[in-house]
Amino acid sequence: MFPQISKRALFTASAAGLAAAALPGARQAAAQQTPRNALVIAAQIDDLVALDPHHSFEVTGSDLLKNVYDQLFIIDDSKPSAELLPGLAESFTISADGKTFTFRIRQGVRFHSGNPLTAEDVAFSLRRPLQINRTPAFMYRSVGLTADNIEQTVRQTGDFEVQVTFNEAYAPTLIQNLFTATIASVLDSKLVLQNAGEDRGNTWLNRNSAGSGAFRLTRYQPNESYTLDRNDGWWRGRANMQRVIVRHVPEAATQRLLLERGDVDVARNLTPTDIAALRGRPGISIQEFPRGTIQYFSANLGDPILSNPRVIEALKHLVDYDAIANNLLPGQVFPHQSFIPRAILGEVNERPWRFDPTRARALLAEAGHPNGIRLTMDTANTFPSLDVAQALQASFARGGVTLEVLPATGAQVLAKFRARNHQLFIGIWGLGYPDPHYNADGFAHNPPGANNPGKLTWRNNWNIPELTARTEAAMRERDQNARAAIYRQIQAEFMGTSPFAVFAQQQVQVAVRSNLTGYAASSPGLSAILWRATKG
Amino acid sequence: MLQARPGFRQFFGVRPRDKVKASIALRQSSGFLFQVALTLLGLLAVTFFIGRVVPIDPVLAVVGDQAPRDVYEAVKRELGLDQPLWWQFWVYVKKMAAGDFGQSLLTNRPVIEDIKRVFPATLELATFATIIGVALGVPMGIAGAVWQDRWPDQLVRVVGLVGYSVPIFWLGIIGLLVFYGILGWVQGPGRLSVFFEDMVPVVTGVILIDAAIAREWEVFWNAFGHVVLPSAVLGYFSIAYIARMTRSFMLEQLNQEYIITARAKGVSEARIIWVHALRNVSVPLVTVIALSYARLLEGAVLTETVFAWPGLGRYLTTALLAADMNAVLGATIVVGLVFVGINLLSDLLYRLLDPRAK
Repeated sequence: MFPQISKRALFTASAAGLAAAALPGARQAAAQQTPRNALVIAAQIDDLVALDPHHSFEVTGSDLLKNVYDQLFIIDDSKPSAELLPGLAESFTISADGKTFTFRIRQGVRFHSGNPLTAEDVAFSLRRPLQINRTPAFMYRSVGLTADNIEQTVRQTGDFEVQVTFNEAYAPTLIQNLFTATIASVLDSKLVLQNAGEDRGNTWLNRNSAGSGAFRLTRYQPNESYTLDRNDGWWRGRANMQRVIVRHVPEAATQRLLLERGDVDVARNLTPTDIAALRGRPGISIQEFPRGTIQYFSANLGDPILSNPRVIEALKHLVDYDAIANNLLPGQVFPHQSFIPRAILGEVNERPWRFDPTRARALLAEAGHPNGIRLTMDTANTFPSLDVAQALQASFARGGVTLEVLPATGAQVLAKFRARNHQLFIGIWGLGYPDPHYNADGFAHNPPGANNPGKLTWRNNWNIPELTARTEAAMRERDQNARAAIYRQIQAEFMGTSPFAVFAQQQVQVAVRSNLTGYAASSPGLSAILWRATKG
Repeated sequence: MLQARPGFRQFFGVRPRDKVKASIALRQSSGFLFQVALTLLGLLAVTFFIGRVVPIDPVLAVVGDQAPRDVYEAVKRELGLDQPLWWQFWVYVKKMAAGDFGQSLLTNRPVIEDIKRVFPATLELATFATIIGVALGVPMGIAGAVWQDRWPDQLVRVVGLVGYSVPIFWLGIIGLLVFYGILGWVQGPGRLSVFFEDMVPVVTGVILIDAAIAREWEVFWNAFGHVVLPSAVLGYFSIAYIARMTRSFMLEQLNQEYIITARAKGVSEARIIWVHALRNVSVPLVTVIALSYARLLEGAVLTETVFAWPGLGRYLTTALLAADMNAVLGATIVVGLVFVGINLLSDLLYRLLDPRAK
């Protein structure tokens, strides 16, 4: 319109704009390499709700807390399967009736504050979970410890001796495994009491730490990052890394870029696509660690169609087990069909079920459904449950089962499941402590009249007085091999007739800088291992 | 006795007219405050009741999958969720009026503390993005109007179209890949590189300002290197919007009679564009810029996710998905206040720019 003059006029104005746009280029950022004595991890940590070890119940929580607190026993972190080692309890003896355990506490251990660790701290820490009564307290209640009896059942009997009396003569391995859990963390009682408000230090401990472990927590910003600094006087030895920084990076693609640039040493939550792209890349290596989490779907036996055992059997034939592990979730899971995860006492690696649509059709016809059936499956609208549900929709169709997938938020489907309003439910179950009882309690224990929505058996209307009795017997079997044998029998029956189809166990697949060794993103002790990490 | 004492009026030198003016101003501002309070209360009520009818159980978000019934019930009582809805709302409003926004379920910290952390992050990003949007969008819009249907206009149109239609997370990831991953011109995701964290004391929460106060220039440039890319990505969308609007406002003005008059009088073309026309589009332009700034201040979930930027958008979304109502309500109030504040600010600007509004 007005060519000659406005060009000049415009130039002045645009120059300002262009200068602003060109500025980022003006200051070039050099690629950073993380220091040799610091480990930097990019991970998703926004599900980290509680830092109080007697309150926390998430895997991200135990990844942090197990490295900050010590427990009475340890799962050997140099072995591929869960083996016990003495921790803060140097040794223990069991009374003649088998109910009272006397723990000898290790001497010379100091908390990060400098306070010496004594039996008083241990007794305080064993009582506290029941007194603050958060979710993990049920693990202590399942062995007969309650808020009402805890002052009598847990007694300090010497400067370095604590006695605990349970309501039954439980298997020593059960008690030891239980006392490796985050809930069994020993707190610096003097420090906690100095800072405790009305809630026994719950609020304070959700933002501070009071432990004796390999690292102390020096900084924590929810949904942003946390920093652990080495405890030079740790009784098991000094960690190699002086500092560990875990930064919340929600997007997998961003984690990958950070790793490629060398700004982090570990990318914790990559997708199979990212992993495939990084495999073979110089300077980067891919590592896999089994996790104590299994994936399953279950059928509500209160439903008229699903109450027929032949229908359940047909559904188990309609899962394409190998395709899920190899094509849908490669590297994220491996095939597994029993409820005790691999690496835990009593594990069963047989896989009796195979994808067989023809057999499934025949079974449905026998059950009186020659033209197939229609079912609904509730699933969280997130990876991997939703993805698996969609795969099941396709494989079920080949056997004449029309599956309607009902995705909703995790909390929403869980509420429906707990209220027993589902037909099929697809879910994930994490082991709370590395003992077979934990999962047997969820999958093969349903005492009559328990009315307990925390139990998967109850949620699916599976009434099993006989299996329940055997699960209870396994809790009391003192011989470790005999105990493992009972769990194997229970699982054989579980795999045959239960309304649960376990199809996979999860593993953590991480990409790390090749100079990093000794880091484990997951372990049979159910947490990350940081203290052995070292850079070459 | 009847001797007039030096009264209040004389003492402060207030004349009757001033007093009337002052009382009008007072009435206006108290009316304004009342309006704001009512708006916020309405906002709270709507958010609260929607939050409560959404079929998400906040108790399960706290206790987790495997919790037995008694723990579930205990936490439900603790959160006050066993009380009737109207009572829960009353309790909430009462506490909030006293400045207590409650605890967030997800971070286990007071909501106000969380917001003090996430809002400055968003403020930093939104301000930069708006500066970029204005610095580039306004000249581009003017160029489009001046050379209507010529190549500068077409260019502006294409840039705008791309800005509207490309998904922001894609642009963010590509931006990261190119400028951080390949070229290394900018810093990576997050607000600071990990080793710079906690190096400057928190004063405003905006790291650039805090670093400048502490005279930690290395931290300052590191933070700058982090904010450039996400704000450029967000700013691109502002550019698209602002350029489109500027173009259409300018076109309207350039066809007015007073422009023809000016031109007939021999006023230079530059003066016509930058003084006559631009001055007249400044009022609607302020509205557009203010609205786009306010929208950015709500937080940008996708950008924040891609760039691991701990801002308000992600805080609010995460809270919403877990029905963490205290956090949701607290963040909603902040967004409400931002809108009120920006409205007030643009009102003031109108008065400066438009003599009729005085």
